[in-house]
Amino acid sequence: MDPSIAPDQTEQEVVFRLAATNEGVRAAIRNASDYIAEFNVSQEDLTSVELSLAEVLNNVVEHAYDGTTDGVVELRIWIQDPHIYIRILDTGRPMPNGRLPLGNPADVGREGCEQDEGGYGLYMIRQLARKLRYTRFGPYNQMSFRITLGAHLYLDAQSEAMNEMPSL
Amino acid sequence: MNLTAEPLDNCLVITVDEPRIDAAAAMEFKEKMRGLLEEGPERFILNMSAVDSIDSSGLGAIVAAMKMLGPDRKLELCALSNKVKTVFRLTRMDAVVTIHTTLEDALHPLQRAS
Repeated sequence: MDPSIAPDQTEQEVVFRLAATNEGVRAAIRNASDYIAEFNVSQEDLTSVELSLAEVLNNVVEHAYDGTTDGVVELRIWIQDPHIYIRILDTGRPMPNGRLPLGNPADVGREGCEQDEGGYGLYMIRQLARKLRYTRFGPYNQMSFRITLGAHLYLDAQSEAMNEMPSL
Repeated sequence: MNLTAEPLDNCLVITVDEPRIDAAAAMEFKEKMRGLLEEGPERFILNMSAVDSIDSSGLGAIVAAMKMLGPDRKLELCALSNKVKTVFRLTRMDAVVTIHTTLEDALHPLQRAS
Protein backbone atom coordinates (compact mmCIF):
# COMPACT_ATOMS: atom_id res chain seq x y z
CA MET A 1 0.00 0.00 0.00
CA ASP A 2 1.37 3.35 -1.03
CA PRO A 3 1.40 5.56 2.09
CA SER A 4 0.51 8.55 -0.10
CA ILE A 5 -3.03 7.16 -0.34
CA ALA A 6 -4.71 7.61 3.01
CA PRO A 7 -6.19 4.24 4.10
CA ASP A 8 -9.32 5.80 5.58
CA GLN A 9 -10.30 7.07 2.13
CA THR A 10 -9.76 3.89 0.16
CA GLU A 11 -13.06 2.22 1.01
CA GLN A 12 -15.40 4.91 -0.15
CA GLU A 13 -16.88 5.65 -3.52
CA VAL A 14 -17.28 9.32 -4.38
CA VAL A 15 -20.24 10.35 -6.52
CA PHE A 16 -20.42 13.30 -8.92
CA ARG A 17 -23.62 14.21 -10.71
CA LEU A 18 -23.47 16.25 -13.87
CA ALA A 19 -25.70 17.66 -16.59
CA ALA A 20 -25.27 15.83 -19.89
CA THR A 21 -23.79 18.83 -21.68
CA ASN A 22 -20.29 19.66 -22.94
CA GLU A 23 -19.97 22.22 -20.14
CA GLY A 24 -21.17 19.69 -17.57
CA VAL A 25 -18.50 17.27 -18.78
CA ARG A 26 -15.78 19.94 -18.54
CA ALA A 27 -16.72 20.76 -14.95
CA ALA A 28 -17.01 17.09 -13.94
CA ILE A 29 -13.55 16.27 -15.31
CA ARG A 30 -12.11 19.22 -13.40
CA ASN A 31 -13.84 18.23 -10.14
CA ALA A 32 -12.92 14.55 -10.47
CA SER A 33 -9.34 15.45 -11.31
CA ASP A 34 -9.10 17.78 -8.28
CA TYR A 35 -10.45 15.01 -6.07
CA ILE A 36 -8.03 12.38 -7.40
CA ALA A 37 -5.08 14.81 -7.24
CA GLU A 38 -5.50 14.87 -3.45
CA PHE A 39 -4.24 11.29 -3.40
CA ASN A 40 -0.84 12.37 -4.74
CA VAL A 41 -1.19 10.46 -8.01
CA SER A 42 1.30 11.39 -10.72
CA GLN A 43 0.50 13.90 -13.45
CA GLU A 44 0.61 11.08 -16.03
CA ASP A 45 -1.96 9.01 -14.12
CA LEU A 46 -4.14 12.08 -13.75
CA THR A 47 -3.94 12.62 -17.51
CA SER A 48 -5.01 9.00 -18.08
CA VAL A 49 -8.05 9.52 -15.85
CA GLU A 50 -8.98 12.88 -17.38
CA LEU A 51 -8.70 11.52 -20.91
CA SER A 52 -10.75 8.39 -20.30
CA LEU A 53 -13.40 10.38 -18.41
CA ALA A 54 -13.60 12.89 -21.27
CA GLU A 55 -14.11 10.16 -23.84
CA VAL A 56 -16.74 8.17 -21.92
CA LEU A 57 -18.66 11.28 -20.81
CA ASN A 58 -18.57 12.86 -24.29
CA ASN A 59 -19.91 9.61 -25.65
CA VAL A 60 -22.85 9.74 -23.22
CA VAL A 61 -23.66 13.37 -24.14
CA GLU A 62 -23.39 12.83 -27.88
CA HIS A 63 -24.86 9.37 -28.31
CA ALA A 64 -26.82 8.17 -25.27
CA TYR A 65 -28.56 11.54 -24.82
CA ASP A 66 -28.16 12.53 -28.45
CA GLY A 67 -27.39 16.18 -27.64
CA THR A 68 -30.55 16.74 -25.55
CA THR A 69 -29.66 18.90 -22.57
CA ASP A 70 -31.86 17.57 -19.75
CA GLY A 71 -30.01 14.30 -19.19
CA VAL A 72 -28.21 13.54 -15.95
CA VAL A 73 -25.03 11.53 -15.63
CA GLU A 74 -23.60 9.98 -12.50
CA LEU A 75 -19.87 9.53 -12.14
CA ARG A 76 -18.61 7.26 -9.36
CA ILE A 77 -14.96 7.02 -8.39
CA TRP A 78 -13.40 4.62 -5.96
CA ILE A 79 -9.68 4.69 -5.30
CA GLN A 80 -8.00 1.59 -3.98
CA ASP A 81 -4.27 1.66 -4.56
CA PRO A 82 -2.99 0.83 -7.15
CA HIS A 83 -6.30 1.17 -9.02
CA ILE A 84 -8.82 3.90 -9.66
CA TYR A 85 -12.23 2.37 -10.32
CA ILE A 86 -14.66 4.43 -12.35
CA ARG A 87 -18.36 3.90 -13.10
CA ILE A 88 -20.49 6.14 -15.26
CA LEU A 89 -24.29 5.80 -15.28
CA ASP A 90 -26.90 7.43 -17.49
CA THR A 91 -30.51 6.86 -18.50
CA GLY A 92 -30.05 7.61 -22.21
CA ARG A 93 -30.32 5.32 -25.20
CA PRO A 94 -28.55 1.97 -25.04
CA MET A 95 -25.42 1.34 -27.11
CA PRO A 96 -26.20 0.17 -30.64
CA ASN A 97 -26.34 -3.67 -30.59
CA GLY A 98 -25.88 -3.47 -26.80
CA ARG A 99 -22.14 -3.39 -27.27
CA LEU A 100 -19.24 -1.00 -27.02
CA PRO A 101 -17.65 -0.19 -30.40
CA LEU A 102 -13.92 -0.94 -30.74
CA GLY A 103 -12.79 2.46 -31.97
CA ASN A 104 -9.76 2.87 -34.19
CA PRO A 105 -6.36 4.58 -34.26
CA ALA A 106 -5.09 6.74 -37.11
CA ASP A 107 -4.17 4.81 -40.25
CA VAL A 108 -0.42 5.42 -40.38
CA GLY A 109 -0.29 4.38 -44.03
CA ARG A 110 -2.40 7.35 -45.09
CA GLU A 111 -2.04 11.11 -45.33
CA GLY A 112 -3.57 13.41 -42.71
CA CYS A 113 -6.33 14.48 -45.09
CA GLU A 114 -7.36 10.83 -45.56
CA GLN A 115 -7.88 10.04 -41.86
CA ASP A 116 -11.24 9.41 -40.21
CA GLU A 117 -12.60 12.25 -38.08
CA GLY A 118 -13.90 9.93 -35.35
CA GLY A 119 -13.41 6.62 -33.60
CA TYR A 120 -10.32 7.70 -31.67
CA GLY A 121 -12.03 8.20 -28.31
CA LEU A 122 -12.90 4.57 -27.68
CA TYR A 123 -9.54 3.46 -28.99
CA MET A 124 -7.85 5.75 -26.45
CA ILE A 125 -9.93 4.47 -23.51
CA ARG A 126 -9.15 0.90 -24.46
CA GLN A 127 -5.45 1.70 -24.20
CA LEU A 128 -5.66 3.69 -20.97
CA ALA A 129 -8.20 1.63 -19.06
CA ARG A 130 -8.62 -2.02 -18.17
CA LYS A 131 -11.74 -4.10 -17.44
CA LEU A 132 -13.74 -1.77 -19.65
CA ARG A 133 -17.32 -2.99 -19.53
CA TYR A 134 -20.67 -1.76 -20.77
CA THR A 135 -23.86 -3.04 -19.15
CA ARG A 136 -27.49 -2.14 -19.64
CA PHE A 137 -29.87 -2.80 -16.76
CA GLY A 138 -33.42 -1.41 -16.69
CA PRO A 139 -33.23 2.20 -17.89
CA TYR A 140 -29.52 2.52 -17.08
CA ASN A 141 -26.36 2.41 -19.13
CA GLN A 142 -23.29 1.70 -17.08
CA MET A 143 -19.70 1.97 -18.24
CA SER A 144 -17.10 0.75 -15.81
CA PHE A 145 -13.34 0.55 -16.05
CA ARG A 146 -10.25 0.90 -13.97
CA ILE A 147 -7.04 2.84 -14.37
CA THR A 148 -3.97 1.36 -12.77
CA LEU A 149 -1.56 3.87 -11.27
CA GLY A 150 1.74 3.79 -13.11
CA ALA A 151 0.30 1.86 -16.07
CA HIS A 152 1.41 4.60 -18.48
CA LEU A 153 4.98 3.45 -17.82
CA TYR A 154 4.21 0.10 -19.45
CA LEU A 155 2.39 1.87 -22.24
CA ASP A 156 5.45 4.05 -22.93
CA ALA A 157 7.68 0.97 -23.00
CA GLN A 158 5.26 -0.72 -25.42
CA SER A 159 5.14 2.20 -27.81
CA GLU A 160 8.93 2.51 -27.75
CA ALA A 161 9.20 -1.17 -28.61
CA MET A 162 6.76 -0.61 -31.47
CA ASN A 163 8.81 2.29 -32.81
CA GLU A 164 11.90 0.10 -32.82
CA MET A 165 10.21 -2.63 -34.82
CA PRO A 166 11.35 -2.71 -38.45
CA SER A 167 8.59 -1.55 -40.79
CA LEU A 168 7.17 -4.31 -42.94
CA MET B 1 -12.35 30.07 -29.20
CA ASN B 2 -9.63 32.51 -30.21
CA LEU B 3 -7.47 31.80 -33.25
CA THR B 4 -4.94 34.30 -34.54
CA ALA B 5 -3.27 33.94 -37.92
CA GLU B 6 0.03 35.48 -38.92
CA PRO B 7 1.95 34.96 -42.18
CA LEU B 8 5.59 34.06 -41.43
CA ASP B 9 8.26 32.74 -43.83
CA ASN B 10 5.84 31.51 -46.54
CA CYS B 11 3.67 29.83 -43.91
CA LEU B 12 0.52 30.85 -42.17
CA VAL B 13 1.01 30.39 -38.43
CA ILE B 14 -2.30 29.88 -36.63
CA THR B 15 -2.08 30.25 -32.87
CA VAL B 16 -4.78 28.64 -30.76
CA ASP B 17 -5.30 31.00 -27.84
CA GLU B 18 -7.42 28.61 -25.79
CA PRO B 19 -6.56 26.17 -22.96
CA ARG B 20 -8.47 23.25 -24.47
CA ILE B 21 -9.84 21.92 -27.73
CA ASP B 22 -12.50 19.61 -26.33
CA ALA B 23 -16.04 18.61 -27.30
CA ALA B 24 -17.33 22.02 -26.14
CA ALA B 25 -14.85 23.88 -28.36
CA ALA B 26 -14.39 21.56 -31.35
CA MET B 27 -17.24 22.85 -33.51
CA GLU B 28 -16.17 26.48 -33.21
CA PHE B 29 -12.54 25.54 -33.78
CA LYS B 30 -13.52 23.78 -37.01
CA GLU B 31 -15.58 26.73 -38.26
CA LYS B 32 -12.85 29.28 -37.49
CA MET B 33 -10.24 27.06 -39.15
CA ARG B 34 -12.44 26.80 -42.24
CA GLY B 35 -12.32 30.58 -42.59
CA LEU B 36 -8.54 30.73 -42.15
CA LEU B 37 -7.71 27.83 -44.48
CA GLU B 38 -9.84 28.92 -47.42
CA GLU B 39 -6.96 30.74 -49.05
CA GLY B 40 -3.31 31.08 -48.31
CA PRO B 41 0.02 29.31 -48.70
CA GLU B 42 0.76 25.59 -49.04
CA ARG B 43 2.01 25.26 -45.49
CA PHE B 44 0.11 26.01 -42.30
CA ILE B 45 1.49 25.70 -38.78
CA LEU B 46 -0.91 25.27 -35.89
CA ASN B 47 0.80 26.72 -32.83
CA MET B 48 -0.55 24.80 -29.82
CA SER B 49 1.62 26.46 -27.15
CA ALA B 50 -1.40 27.81 -25.24
CA VAL B 51 -3.38 24.55 -25.42
CA ASP B 52 -3.18 22.40 -22.30
CA SER B 53 -5.51 19.56 -23.30
CA ILE B 54 -7.41 18.03 -26.18
CA ASP B 55 -9.86 15.14 -26.52
CA SER B 56 -10.97 12.97 -29.44
CA SER B 57 -13.47 15.63 -30.57
CA GLY B 58 -10.64 18.17 -30.76
CA LEU B 59 -8.46 15.67 -32.58
CA GLY B 60 -11.31 15.05 -35.02
CA ALA B 61 -11.55 18.81 -35.60
CA ILE B 62 -7.83 18.96 -36.46
CA VAL B 63 -8.32 16.05 -38.89
CA ALA B 64 -11.26 17.97 -40.38
CA ALA B 65 -8.92 20.94 -40.92
CA MET B 66 -6.42 18.68 -42.72
CA LYS B 67 -9.27 17.45 -44.92
CA MET B 68 -10.19 21.05 -45.79
CA LEU B 69 -6.62 21.55 -47.04
CA GLY B 70 -6.63 18.43 -49.18
CA PRO B 71 -3.53 16.58 -50.36
CA ASP B 72 -1.57 19.54 -51.77
CA ARG B 73 -1.50 21.82 -48.74
CA LYS B 74 -0.16 20.79 -45.34
CA LEU B 75 -1.07 21.47 -41.74
CA GLU B 76 1.77 20.93 -39.28
CA LEU B 77 1.66 21.31 -35.50
CA CYS B 78 4.07 22.76 -32.99
CA ALA B 79 4.54 23.26 -29.24
CA LEU B 80 2.36 20.43 -27.88
CA SER B 81 1.81 20.12 -24.13
CA ASN B 82 2.45 16.73 -22.53
CA LYS B 83 -1.29 16.03 -22.37
CA VAL B 84 -1.79 16.88 -26.03
CA LYS B 85 1.24 14.76 -26.97
CA THR B 86 -0.29 11.82 -25.10
CA VAL B 87 -3.45 12.03 -27.21
CA PHE B 88 -1.44 12.13 -30.46
CA ARG B 89 0.68 9.19 -29.32
CA LEU B 90 -2.24 7.04 -28.11
CA THR B 91 -4.14 7.49 -31.38
CA ARG B 92 -0.95 7.11 -33.49
CA MET B 93 -1.73 10.47 -35.03
CA ASP B 94 1.87 11.44 -34.18
CA ALA B 95 2.95 9.14 -37.02
CA VAL B 96 0.65 10.90 -39.50
CA VAL B 97 1.05 14.60 -38.68
CA THR B 98 4.33 16.53 -38.66
CA ILE B 99 4.89 17.78 -35.12
CA HIS B 100 7.60 20.32 -34.25
CA THR B 101 8.86 20.89 -30.71
CA THR B 102 8.69 24.68 -30.97
CA LEU B 103 7.45 27.28 -33.44
CA GLU B 104 11.08 28.23 -34.02
CA ASP B 105 11.84 24.62 -35.07
CA ALA B 106 8.85 24.62 -37.38
CA LEU B 107 9.99 27.79 -39.14
CA HIS B 108 13.75 27.16 -39.26
CA PRO B 109 14.41 23.40 -39.08
CA LEU B 110 17.73 23.65 -40.94
CA GLN B 111 19.27 26.27 -38.68
CA ARG B 112 18.85 23.97 -35.73
CA ALA B 113 20.38 20.98 -37.48
CA SER B 114 23.52 22.84 -38.54
